[in-house]
Amino acid sequence: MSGSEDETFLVARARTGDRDAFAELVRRYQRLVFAVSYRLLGDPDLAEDVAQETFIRAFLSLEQFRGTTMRAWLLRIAHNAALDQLRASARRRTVPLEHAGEHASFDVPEPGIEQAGLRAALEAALAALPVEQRAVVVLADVEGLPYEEIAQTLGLPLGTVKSRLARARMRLRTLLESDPRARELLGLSGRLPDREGESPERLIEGE
Amino acid sequence: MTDRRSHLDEERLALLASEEPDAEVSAHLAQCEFCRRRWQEYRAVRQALRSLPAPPLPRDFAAGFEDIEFLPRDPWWWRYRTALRAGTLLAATLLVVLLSTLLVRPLIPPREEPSAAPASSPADQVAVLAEPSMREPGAGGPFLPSPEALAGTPVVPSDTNAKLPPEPGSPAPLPAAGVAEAESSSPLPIASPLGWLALAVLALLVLAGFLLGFLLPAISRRR
Repeated sequence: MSGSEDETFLVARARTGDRDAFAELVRRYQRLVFAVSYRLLGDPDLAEDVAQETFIRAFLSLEQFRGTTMRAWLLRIAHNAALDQLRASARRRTVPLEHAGEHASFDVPEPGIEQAGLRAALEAALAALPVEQRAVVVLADVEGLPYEEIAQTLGLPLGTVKSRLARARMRLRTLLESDPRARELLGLSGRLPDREGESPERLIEGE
Repeated sequence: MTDRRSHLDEERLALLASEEPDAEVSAHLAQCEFCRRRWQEYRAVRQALRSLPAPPLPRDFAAGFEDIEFLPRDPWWWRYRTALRAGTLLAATLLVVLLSTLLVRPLIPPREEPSAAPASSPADQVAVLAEPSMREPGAGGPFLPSPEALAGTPVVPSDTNAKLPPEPGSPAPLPAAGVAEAESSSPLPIASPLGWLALAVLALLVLAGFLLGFLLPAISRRR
């Protein structure tokens, strides 16, 4: 049985009230839901609440699930729950890049100081984005979802997803360019070459 | 100086970070240093975002759903219960009105016929006969009714069981039930089999509406 068929079978069983089937669905997507919630909110405690709220809402409205993937459906619930949480707290998470090292983060072993600094700069830049752009960047560039699934998750047209993603990336690049550590590690430069043949700056091999 | 108008749009370069450029774009990137550099910067940022570590799970969210008591789900019609109850009450009202019409209408006496000519008494009929309606030619004496006229005179039978026309002003006797139905001014609204079928369907709908809208919710609440 393929993954999608297996998931279809789990969903059908969960709709009849099979708690084990729904628990299995939760296990499959809890990391993704929590990670997206954390990236949107920037707070692990709030992200835990939103993730729990997401699965409760999904459990109560499972009969309404149709016409999309389970992943997109759960992420849509998580996105809406995160927006509700943001409205309730009524605060905008903007962290100046000079305080990026103070940004709330998990204790994850880092391979090196440079990478730790780059990670902090990236998280700070993400937190500085408007929530609408942040959601698209998190889904596309952090979690690697395709455009069509992002459109289903956010309930937006495909063209809007692309334009919003492009503007978010432009803004991210501008924010990271102002951080010396990120600019050096990512090889960012806003200058046009003055003359032809000018040697380019060192670039990080991305592939 | 490099001509900025020959460069690719910034949004397009940003989107290319996660897309494969087509032949036209690839050719431009090969010869335009600025666009190529900017494209590589966007790809580097995206690669760095993809490499961000996932935050560790604070707990197992699935454990909560294995232990909780399963809550019964609302039936499919639950969301329509308000409209169902309102429709049931309206249908029940209509049903009561129709049934009342069937039960009460036979008890209503028929109205008197005002256009009918008052029945004449036997004395009036004799008086009519006594009036000279025509004179025989040559006769100087008083007019005597011809035997034919007398034969045409309605004779009051001596049979006492015969029905006499009622005296004017006397109350009309109560008609029989079958007569009353024939003399009613308008027919019953439900006289045909189709009407009775519609009434039965209405009654069934009202019963179903009360069952789903009132009785079952009350039972489920008690549980």
